[in-house]
Amino acid sequence: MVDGLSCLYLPQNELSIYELVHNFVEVLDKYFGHVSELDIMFDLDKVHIILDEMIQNGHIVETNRNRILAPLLALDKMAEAH
Amino acid sequence: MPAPIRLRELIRTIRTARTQAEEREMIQKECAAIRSSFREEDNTYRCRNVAKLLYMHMLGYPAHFGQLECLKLIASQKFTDKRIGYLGAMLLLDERQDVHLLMTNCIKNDLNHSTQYVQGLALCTLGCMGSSEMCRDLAGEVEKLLKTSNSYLRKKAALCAVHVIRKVPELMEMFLPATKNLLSEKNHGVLHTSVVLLTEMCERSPDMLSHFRKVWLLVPQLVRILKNLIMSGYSPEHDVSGISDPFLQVRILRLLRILGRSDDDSSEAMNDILAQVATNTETSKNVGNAILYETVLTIMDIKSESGLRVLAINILGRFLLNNDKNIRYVALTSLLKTVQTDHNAVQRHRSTIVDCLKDLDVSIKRRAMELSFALVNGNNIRGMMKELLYFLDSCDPEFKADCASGVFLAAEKYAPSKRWHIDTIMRVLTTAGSYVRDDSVPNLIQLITNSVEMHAYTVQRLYKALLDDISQQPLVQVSSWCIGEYGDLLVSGQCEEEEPIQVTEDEVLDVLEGLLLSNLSTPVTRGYSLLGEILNRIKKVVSVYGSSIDVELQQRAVEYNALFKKYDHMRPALLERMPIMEKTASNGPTEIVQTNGETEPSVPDTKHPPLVTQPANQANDLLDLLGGNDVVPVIQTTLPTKPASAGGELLDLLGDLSLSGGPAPAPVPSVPVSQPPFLLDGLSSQPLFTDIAAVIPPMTAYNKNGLKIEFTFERANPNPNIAVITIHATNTTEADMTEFVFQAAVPKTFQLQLLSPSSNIVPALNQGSITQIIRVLNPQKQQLRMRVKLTYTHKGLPVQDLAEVNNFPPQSWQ
Repeated sequence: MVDGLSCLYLPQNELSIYELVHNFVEVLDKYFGHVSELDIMFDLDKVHIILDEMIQNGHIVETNRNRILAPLLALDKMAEAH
Repeated sequence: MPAPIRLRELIRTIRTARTQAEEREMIQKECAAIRSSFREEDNTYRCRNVAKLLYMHMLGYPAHFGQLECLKLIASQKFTDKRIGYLGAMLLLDERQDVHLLMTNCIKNDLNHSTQYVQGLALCTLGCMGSSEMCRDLAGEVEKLLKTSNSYLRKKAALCAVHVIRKVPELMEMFLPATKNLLSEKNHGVLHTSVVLLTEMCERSPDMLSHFRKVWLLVPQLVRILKNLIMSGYSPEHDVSGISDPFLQVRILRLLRILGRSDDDSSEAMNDILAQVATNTETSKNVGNAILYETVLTIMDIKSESGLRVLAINILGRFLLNNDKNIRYVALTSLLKTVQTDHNAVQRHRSTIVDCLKDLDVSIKRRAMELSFALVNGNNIRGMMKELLYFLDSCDPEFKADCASGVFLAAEKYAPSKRWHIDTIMRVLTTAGSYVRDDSVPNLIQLITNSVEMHAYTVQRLYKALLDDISQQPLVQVSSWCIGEYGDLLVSGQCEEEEPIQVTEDEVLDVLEGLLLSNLSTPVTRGYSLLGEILNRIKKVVSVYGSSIDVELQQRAVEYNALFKKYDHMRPALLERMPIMEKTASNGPTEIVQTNGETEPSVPDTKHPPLVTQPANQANDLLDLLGGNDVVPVIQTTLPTKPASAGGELLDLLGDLSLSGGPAPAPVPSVPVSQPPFLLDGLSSQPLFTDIAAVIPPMTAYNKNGLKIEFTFERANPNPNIAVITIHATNTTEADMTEFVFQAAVPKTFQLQLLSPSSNIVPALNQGSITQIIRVLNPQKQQLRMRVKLTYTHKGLPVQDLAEVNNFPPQSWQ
């Protein structure tokens, strides 16, 4: 997760990165419901999936919470059906 | 074999480990299980195993044996498998492994998969870690996806294209047509990523950049999009604290910056929107400030009109007043970058910046300090310096050195008066003295010497400061140097600006001796203080000469003063070269030996300016004496350019002193013509004191009938062929030896110069000694030999003796 964030290609605007982190936490919050550190620990693969939906190769892909979570929710549904 | 545990189980187990060793053990056990499971080629659990492997990889354990498994997962048809497989590929693989090439085919297939999520996965992976070969192979697929109507895929394809362009720049053109339509998208995700793609293209290729500006007319398009973002009402999809998609706004602003850089037309086209964003954005939350910050950066970078620039700097000034530390920090950093170009605008915020000096945060303080120094100018120097000195008093030690240097620099450039300058320096030395950089001390000394009229004032203040506190080394150094140099001004109590303090030599000497004795002083400091010892030496030398000399000494001091003033203009050049001296142990008058910055043991020796040569009659005596023509009478040698110094000169003069029985020396101001070069040459370029090239041991030249004569040696600088010998004559009998005269002769190849003795009475019972200086020029470096003749009166009877001195140590003539 840190890998994804550490190579963010926003060299100058530190405040904007701050906002992005905030956004990320909000997405996690939405998915996990009151996200805590344990959630991230135990569902690391899911966190990775979320991160991949948000940031790709150092650039922002999507910031809309619903759209970010859509694939993951679909995945969860598939897993349940199994 | 039991089913491998789930990832959650593993995590739970590992978390129970209490020590690193325990954790390692658990992990190793699990790795072994995973490895055997892989060997079994078990499809059902591969996904789970790789997931666990990724977790262990995150913890830092080796996971390379899972790389092939990832490929197998990618090739699988199940989405869950693919998901973990691609994730594993992104985490575990990179271009350095050959394995990743095997993925190419899989990715190609997945790019054309029916499920968008799979396609998305493939795009994501390719965009993260595709090598140039892979990118070349698959660029076509990516380009195809760029044109699809599926916005989920389009945005990912755009970012994948960014990666492809980075890896294979030649392929940039291929994406051009598809990119053109991207901006008309409604979907913000696509919009965002296409702006990123455009930014990447602009940065890579200036041709592309001008193409965008001129042909596509990109700037108006972007301006329009930005405007819509700002003007549109609340849109729940992208709202962040009341602002519509700030991320997109920031991205667009950045692209505008690149487009407007060094291009007047583009810059003009975006003026309005920038002003609008700058004025209308809500600043209560960080979001608004982020956008404002990006706007400011853009304004400063493009060719904006001055009103806009002032607006930008005012925004930064407002940031400085914000409660949030981050924003203050960001503002200071930006102001630092712009202070050179927009100096006047930044000046308006000077008081805010100076207030930031009192901030609690270290990085803010540092930036505020740097910015403050950048803002100092002739008008605000007094006020600023007050603040900066106050800061210097109270700041952390890590700042003090930089602050002190900055203060010195600023003071040097903008000092309104010399007195203010010196006061400022004094303040720095007394408050942050120990942190002042080493090189500032010589600079300061130079500065002080250059402000001629302030010398008295300076030295008085330094002396007073010394009286208070001798723990700060640079202060002590500068003070003792000044006292040494300007001690006369101090002693004579002249000063127009302050009350003259009646300082006697004794007091000054006490202070200086106190310095020397205090073990707080470093050797360097001691060395500096030794300059001050000149006065000391004067006293001691004077006491050797006896009380009748006092009147002469006063005369000499005044003449010396006059001399100083006459040649003052040479002083700065001379004084710059002041080397560091070391005090040496000595028996007799204190000695100073130049060490050129190195500590070297030195031979005790008195100062020995060569001035007066013996008058002719003595030479004649010797001729009689030795009768032969292998002796060259003592002649007046062309004086080697003798280095002059504060002390040196004075002692030169003292060497002149006529003693009872000695010939009258020429008074100093009218230096005999034969010696013209001495003073001026000395003042111009010579180092101050003679060099000791090597240690030359002293020797006993004569020891008979209670009279003992010792020779001590020194090499003269600049002429190493000259050996300077000081004779010490002592008397162990119980009666004084009066009317003592020492004469010497040397072989033809040498030249000898005998200076006046210190007195002509050798006190009984070693109560004192006579010293006299002999200079021997030995150009051919032959072994030194000397004949001496001694005459004195002992117990009422005249005594005469001749002796040959042959036991000169080899170093004295080699």
